[in-house]
Amino acid sequence: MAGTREERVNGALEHLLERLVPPQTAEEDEAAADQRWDEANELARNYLDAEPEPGVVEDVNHAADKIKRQLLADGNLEARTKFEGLYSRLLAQPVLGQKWAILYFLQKVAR
Amino acid sequence: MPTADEDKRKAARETIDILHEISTLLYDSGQWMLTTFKNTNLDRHTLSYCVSLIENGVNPEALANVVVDLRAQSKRLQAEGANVT
Repeated sequence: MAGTREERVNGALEHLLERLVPPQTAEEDEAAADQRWDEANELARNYLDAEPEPGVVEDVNHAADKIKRQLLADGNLEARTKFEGLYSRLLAQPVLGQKWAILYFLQKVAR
Repeated sequence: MPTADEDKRKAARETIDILHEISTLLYDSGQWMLTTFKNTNLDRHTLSYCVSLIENGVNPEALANVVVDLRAQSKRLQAEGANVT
């Protein structure tokens, strides 16, 4: 991975916003669309700067248990069993360093 | 004999595949329950940018708030566009 951490974060955030912020609509002029883009950028920065540190235990099993409990609460046993298989495959993957954080992110986005 | 780089790229693809399956699972579970989970189903590209951000130290909670908020805004924009036409 090229560049400093800040460059990598800026690059990935730009790409993410390109996928989350709709392009100019038919009812909108360019200035309004640009303003929407700027506001989205500002929103993202505010969130990331306001909470630089996670407020949870950095424990991959804890994050996985939260997902299992949620699936159990749904009564979705099939999904829970499938998740356990996916989770063990994820643990075996060597490339990620922040598995707990990514599971926590998926669970938080789901709520 | 695959190089170390090829192995790493293959492992990265497999990991995103696993995470995408988990994301879809949570989305489908939400749809099944209609209340508990909503809007988890991130596409692979969006998911890989989120993974890159988290791997580079971004707080997962704050990033989740960004994604949820911007998707809600996007939905509102689409709804407004639908009302106009």
